Amino acid sequence: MFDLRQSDDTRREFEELALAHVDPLFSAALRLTRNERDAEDLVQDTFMRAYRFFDKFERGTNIKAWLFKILTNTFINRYRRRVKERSVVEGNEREAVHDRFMSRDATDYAANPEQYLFDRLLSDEVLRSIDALPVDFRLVVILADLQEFSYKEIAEVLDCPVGTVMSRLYRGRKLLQKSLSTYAHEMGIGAEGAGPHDEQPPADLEAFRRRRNAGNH
Amino acid sequence: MAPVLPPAASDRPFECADVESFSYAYLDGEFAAAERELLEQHLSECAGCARKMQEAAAFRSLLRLHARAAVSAPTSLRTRITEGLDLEVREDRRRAMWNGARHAFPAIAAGLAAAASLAFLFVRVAPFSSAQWVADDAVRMHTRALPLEVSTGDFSHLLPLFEHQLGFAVRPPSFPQRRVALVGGRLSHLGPRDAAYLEYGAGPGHRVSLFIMADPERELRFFGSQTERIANRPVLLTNVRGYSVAVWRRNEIVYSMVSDLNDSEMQQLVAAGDGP
Repeated sequence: MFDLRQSDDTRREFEELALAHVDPLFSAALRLTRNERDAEDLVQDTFMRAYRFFDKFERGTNIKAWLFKILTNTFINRYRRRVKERSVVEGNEREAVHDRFMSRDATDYAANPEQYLFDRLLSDEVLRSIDALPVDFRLVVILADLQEFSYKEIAEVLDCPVGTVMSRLYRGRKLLQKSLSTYAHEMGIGAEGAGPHDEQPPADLEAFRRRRNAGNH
Repeated sequence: MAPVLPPAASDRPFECADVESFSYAYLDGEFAAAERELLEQHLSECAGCARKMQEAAAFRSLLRLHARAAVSAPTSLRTRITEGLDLEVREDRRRAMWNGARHAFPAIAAGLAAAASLAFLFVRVAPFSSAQWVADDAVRMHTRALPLEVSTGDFSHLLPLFEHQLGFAVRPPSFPQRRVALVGGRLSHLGPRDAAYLEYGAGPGHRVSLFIMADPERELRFFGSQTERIANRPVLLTNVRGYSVAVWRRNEIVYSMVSDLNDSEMQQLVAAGDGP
């Protein structure tokens, strides 16, 4: 009369494909929502929606990119407003996140305490700077620098042209470079981000290619 | 994939301004081989660009190294996902069973549906004052997808059913959005209160449930960070188990809407359905 085994198979396939990506999805959600509770809710919602729409997933394509598309859509549609209201992150909660995730081997500390503390401070500062980015820039930085998606994959996740990805990433990184300039200086990286070209979005790579080609004919 | 430049273009050298604009695209591996070669040739001849590129590369590595702190999801989240999937699978099965049973034994299925809704009365008594609770229960009823008593796109066929059974006049909104159309309805309940249940279709795969019940004492309270003002009325807009829910009151009648549409689409429906 009805096939109960089918839902078991679907679930097994879904778990095999999707559950491997809980960690990266959670770390992205943490940067998007800026607190653990909303990040957990966002990832949970993402998985439930992904399961419901699993028949729409094209087998053999990139499941991680597909899950990230659902995550970012869910975030933009449902969480952005809610999270904005809670924009002040409680100090204690952030500290807890930090301790849990950053506690590397104690041997790192023993080997070179000064370097270790500097690294810790810097990591904290990098995450804080990312958290402070406007959401459009934050999204591309998360997808490119935390998750290492290609421009094309990011364009698919965000449903926007590759040129938009490129200019947002460029500007997002420039903003980060500026806010991290003190640390960057200490590490011998110049504050190039503070130059007059600072706010200029980069030219479109495709347009640039067309121009070059046209110039040669 | 970055298109490879045609041979004719590949003898044209890069200029300093191009390097500035595309340094990150180059570092991120978005350049085609021929472009990479040309750019690297420019870098080998221009100390200023080489220095800038080095700085951009150093900053990019620093960013990646420190942004990618190894985050593992809490165990509680993995548990929640597994439990959520358990629930989804159970609901899939229940739906499959209902659909099967509805075809095979329509009368028995209708009887079971009635019994199931009666049984609920004895299970749970909770404070009625919380709009959040109404939202939770509306989602529970939405996912059960019990069979409709009347399948119709015409309100005038449906309203007589409610009129006799419920002690109040049901005035369902008809949404101006063309793709949101009435499918049918049945008697239902939220918690201990009888409610009219109306089902709307909202495009392929999207179902909108609307529960209408009386709140003669105006006991239900709307407050908190998830409460918005829409059409000058407080509306609880929330997400429960991946569904969007809106709960609002108009005079002594409470409306509760559930769907898998996103928040802004829900807001539009609430605003449109609320009427003048």
